[in-house]
Amino acid sequence: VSNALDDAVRQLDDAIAQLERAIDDYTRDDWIVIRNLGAQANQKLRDFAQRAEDLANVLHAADPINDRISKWSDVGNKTLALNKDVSGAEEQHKGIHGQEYWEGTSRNHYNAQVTVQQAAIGGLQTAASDVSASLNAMSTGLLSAKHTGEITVVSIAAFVLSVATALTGGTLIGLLGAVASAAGVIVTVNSAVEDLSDAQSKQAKALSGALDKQGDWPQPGVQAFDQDTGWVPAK
Amino acid sequence: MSDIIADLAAIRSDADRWHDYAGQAQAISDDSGKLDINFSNTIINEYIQAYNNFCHTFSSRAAAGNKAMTAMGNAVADVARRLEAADHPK
Repeated sequence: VSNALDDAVRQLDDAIAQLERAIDDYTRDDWIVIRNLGAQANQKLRDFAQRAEDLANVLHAADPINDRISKWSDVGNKTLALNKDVSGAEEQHKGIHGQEYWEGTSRNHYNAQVTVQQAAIGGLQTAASDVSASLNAMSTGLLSAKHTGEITVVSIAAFVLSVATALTGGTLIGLLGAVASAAGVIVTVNSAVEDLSDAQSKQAKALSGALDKQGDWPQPGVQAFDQDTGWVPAK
Repeated sequence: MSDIIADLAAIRSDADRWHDYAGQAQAISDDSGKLDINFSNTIINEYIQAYNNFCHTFSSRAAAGNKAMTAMGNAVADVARRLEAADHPK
């Protein structure tokens, strides 16, 4: 999947190639100075382009993550509907009400199991909500990194082109400084993505840990109420 | 005085509801089981793996919910049959 940062990296590669040709074609008296500075600039630019490409590659994760945000929203809505149904919060006829019509020990066992199952459904809804929040945070972080990366790479590509068309020792020295600054920005953006990844990883693991703490979905001990004694019509 | 017909109907309604909820839980399990992300990049691999593990766990739990609530529905339907067969609830 292509994005604007991929396009910017391609622009940068084209600009670097153009600069290399301009340096090769340079024939004035100071050509040795230009060749030496040009070699330094090209090395820095290639390193920078590689960092930018690495960033572009990781940002491709934004597409599947955004897709999952939408799909988890659908799952979340289903857990919400199930939770509302089982509680009868909005539509009385949809809830579990048999226990309200009976008394006795079996009825009490049944009522206890109803509560356990309702709690498990509530836990499912909470977990769906939590993973959606995690994905949203990840998407926001990646989008921010993408914008910063695009601006930085496009800016350097334009600078490289301007130096290729006005090649002097001074412009090459200026380019070296600009590349160093831009590389610093890309490193910072990459670090921010790593930090974000680490933080979200911990959050996702915490979600899984929360489910583990809750334990497997409790299977009901139906034998405690599946009998014809202990059910007495409520008065 | 209680209305036995209505009392049994309430239990049978619960049985239907549990089976309905079980179906909903299975649908949730099926949907969430397809949401893993097939993406590899060293910078965010840890997150992707943790996320995929979450999807698997969540889906498994919802499937267990299907099993649990099916059992609830079956049992409570059985209770209604027993009470009716006994002619009058005890």
